[in-house]
Amino acid sequence: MSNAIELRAVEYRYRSSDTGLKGVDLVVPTGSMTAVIGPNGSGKTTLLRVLAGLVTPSGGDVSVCGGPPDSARRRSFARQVAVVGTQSLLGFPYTVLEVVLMGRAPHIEGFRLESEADLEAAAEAMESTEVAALSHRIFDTLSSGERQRVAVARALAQEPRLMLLDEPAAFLDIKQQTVLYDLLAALNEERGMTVVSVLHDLNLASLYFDQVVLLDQGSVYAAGAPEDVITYASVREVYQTDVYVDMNDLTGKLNVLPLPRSRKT
Amino acid sequence: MTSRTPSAARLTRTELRTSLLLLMVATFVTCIAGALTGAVTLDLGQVWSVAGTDRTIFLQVRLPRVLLAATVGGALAVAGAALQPTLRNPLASPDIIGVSGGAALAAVFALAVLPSGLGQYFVPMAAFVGAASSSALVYRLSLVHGRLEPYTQILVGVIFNTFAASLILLVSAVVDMSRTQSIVFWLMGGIAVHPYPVLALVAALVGIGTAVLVREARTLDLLSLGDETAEHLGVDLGQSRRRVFAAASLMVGAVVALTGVITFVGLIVPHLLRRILGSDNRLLLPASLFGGATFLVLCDAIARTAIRPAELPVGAITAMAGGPFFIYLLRRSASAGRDL
Repeated sequence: MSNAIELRAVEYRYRSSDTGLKGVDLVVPTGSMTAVIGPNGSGKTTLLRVLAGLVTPSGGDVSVCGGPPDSARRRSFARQVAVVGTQSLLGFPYTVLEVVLMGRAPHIEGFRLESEADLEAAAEAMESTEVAALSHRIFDTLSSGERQRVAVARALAQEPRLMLLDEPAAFLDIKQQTVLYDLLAALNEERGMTVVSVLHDLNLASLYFDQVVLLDQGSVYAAGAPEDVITYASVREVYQTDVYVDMNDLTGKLNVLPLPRSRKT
Repeated sequence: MTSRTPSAARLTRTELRTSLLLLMVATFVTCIAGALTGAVTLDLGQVWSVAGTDRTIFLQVRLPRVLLAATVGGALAVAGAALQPTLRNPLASPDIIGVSGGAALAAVFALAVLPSGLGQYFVPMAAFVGAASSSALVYRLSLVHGRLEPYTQILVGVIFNTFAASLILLVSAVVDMSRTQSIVFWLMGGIAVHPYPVLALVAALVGIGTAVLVREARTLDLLSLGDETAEHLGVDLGQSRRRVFAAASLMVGAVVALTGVITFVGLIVPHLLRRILGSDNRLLLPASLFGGATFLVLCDAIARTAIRPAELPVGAITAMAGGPFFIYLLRRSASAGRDL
């Protein structure tokens, strides 16, 4: 199978607003890193929810890891696809290790406790996200950045073939942003894990991803290599703000700098 | 509490077995001690060896009462422990799903209209029917676009209980004084002596409910992560919530019908056990069964002996023990940071 995700003419409309998805076509090749960018309300999170099977589109075809992400195969879907969304507090005193081990749930039948293999998968996930030292801590007492890394560790413990992330770097400092995206890039490189991430930071999108999808008002405005999608013209039209776009000599990737609206030229 | 006190950061097989074994022993010892305590203190040797008054009191009066207390305490604690993660609210108690409110309303209505001799049989039946219909009503009213929404469910439960309470006040206000007293007693919640077949029936219903909830234990852990994350991890939200709701209603309905409303057990016991044993529901749910049983047998023993030979309603004891204790826990949590 060459494509992890195939969307054809996907429509989704919210009851209370006219945002949603309008005729979205999208192909994500297996083993690629795809960034979904676009202004607030452009449909990024809705797209991710459709891919995760949380909402059923009103029209079009969705195929994720070889089938529609519907409830009929929820458990087997969870063994292939992991999702990292926004992290809220739990309200119950679970430890970090317990939360990460919940990522093993799709692999464990019923009431059984985790096996050695499950513990190893969790330990490895915690090492790579640098949260191993927090394993005894109560999840709700962590900082938001630490909670975010634990959520990524939990998703890694699922050992997925496809990982969907919604703004995973939102609460992370620049070192931890690098740790996270280096890790995703390494998993993509070494295990062929497909990564689809919604993000706002256009520099990170250009730096780590080989495909960028720019959404505008629920439709795909452009999709392709970062340097083809993130241009002065496209950003200005879709985001309706001025930017400076340049090629960085050190990284060989794009530099995107937002310009103040009050700028005098 | 910023980290878990037991040696491991997760539930181990040894911890699961040891904790449950200790709690089982505690329940057994408390039941025996509870059955020997009362207006007359019984001698275990006498009860064991010879047929006589001690043995008769033990088998016909004390034991059925203690067994009922254990069943009721266990049922309320397990239902509370399961509903808290389902509703994602550590302060949710079994009352929140409307079961007790409906049971109380139906029982009060039966006490108000039935000839006094019939009450013994019909009040529990009315209460059970009231519990079943009110939980079905709360369930139906909590559905939003065909899905159970935790916040809606809590709000509907609270409003339903308030509504039931005002109707109960209304009924109490218009009946004569003798009936008002029996209504007040029923509402305070009390453990009485019931025949063994009735106990067996209630225990069977509680057993079925507990089995369903314990099977859902891992799902309950995942529900704590939030609806969407739980779905990402393979949980069928609708099915799991329906099962928990039905099992909790069955258990609480069955016990409330016999004992009236006994508050705080479903709140205090899981809360306390969670602090000691951690949040993993694979241990917490069975532990709550034994913890709740032990707690209510103790409270019932206090109710029987505090002002002997007279008795206090056990609901008053659980409320008196539970209220301040719960405030203490909350205050301690608040000063230690957000950590319920």
